[in-house]
Amino acid sequence: MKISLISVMTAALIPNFAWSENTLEPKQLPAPDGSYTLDISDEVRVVNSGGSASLTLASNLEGVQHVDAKWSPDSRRVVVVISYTRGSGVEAAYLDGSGWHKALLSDTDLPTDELARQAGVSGRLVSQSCGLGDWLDSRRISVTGELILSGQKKVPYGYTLVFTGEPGHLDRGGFEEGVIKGIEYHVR
Amino acid sequence: MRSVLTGSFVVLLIAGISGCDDSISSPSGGTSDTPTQNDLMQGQQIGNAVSGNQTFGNANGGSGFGSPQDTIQFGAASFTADSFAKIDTDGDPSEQGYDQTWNAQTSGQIDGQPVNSANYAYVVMSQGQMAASGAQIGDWALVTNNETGQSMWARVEDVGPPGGTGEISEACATGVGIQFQRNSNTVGNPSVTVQVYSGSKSISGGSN
Repeated sequence: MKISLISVMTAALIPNFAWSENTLEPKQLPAPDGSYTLDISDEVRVVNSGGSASLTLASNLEGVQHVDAKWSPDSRRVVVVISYTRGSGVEAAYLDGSGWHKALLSDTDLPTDELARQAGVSGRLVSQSCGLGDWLDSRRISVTGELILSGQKKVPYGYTLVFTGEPGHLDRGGFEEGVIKGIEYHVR
Repeated sequence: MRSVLTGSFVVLLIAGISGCDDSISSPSGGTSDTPTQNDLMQGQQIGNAVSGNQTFGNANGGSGFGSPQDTIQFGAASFTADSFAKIDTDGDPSEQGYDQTWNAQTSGQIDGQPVNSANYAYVVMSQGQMAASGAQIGDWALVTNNETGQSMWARVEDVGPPGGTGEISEACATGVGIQFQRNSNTVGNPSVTVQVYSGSKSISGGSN
């Protein structure tokens, strides 16, 4: 009886403590041509075939729940979605003649109010999440996401992330802003 | 590391349960997940503040994090936002069922536990704001009530949706004189200025 009770309580406790486990699993995503790999561990880095870091996209993943990433078909761009419990952000790395650069999708890009209006809901934005779809070509990738407003009102949305080819401005975090941009935002 | 701690904690719990035999033993505490006496005392300070018996001067600490001991290294703020205050009750178990936007978790953790909004002055940033400013979870932020000028130090401890600004913990709101209801709505439309100092997380906090 005593052993049964211990077993039952242990079985009940282990899943309850599982939430505190960092669910972020280290992984390596090689580019299609194998020349570079996106290394996701304590950091998010682009490493070359020799294992040396060419670029660090994120140096601290504390609190991060999930990292989604996809290489472009030509292996010159990689888009990364870094997700926390209540919000996510889109970063990218791209290769040009001068080497690797990192870019950030500005917060102001997401037309939260317009999407909520299109969906016919209102309220305080509580959380947002997004994930990567398919590459349309080597400069465009589809993204889908969801806004959750107060009262659990959900707004599923989608857009196309584009590498504009235009020069961006460098922010304090070392990201180029304006190089990647969301277009064709819509409610799904 | 976290796996080891979690695993150890479960083993300790199992051992504790096994050792119970037919009697109920008192928890001995001492695990890394147990709040310290200091935390509890600081929580009580906030309790006093919520009751309206305590006032805060400019740039006070007074919550679980206190004030940074050395602000000379801070330099200019790497992120500044001026907006209506919104109360984030995440991490405060007593808010479950009252605040529709409540979450058990916060992105930051203290001793493996969510950061209790009622006990710790913290601010919320988006992933994009953190990346663009170089800020990280744990960095110091100065929060100022734009109406009264009251300000206090807080840390970045939660990550919210893109574009969100002015979101602060219950303890932080109380510390700068902002009143709010149990459902997390503020009384009136107070506004705050949040200034975040990237690279400051390693600077320890202390009482004034």
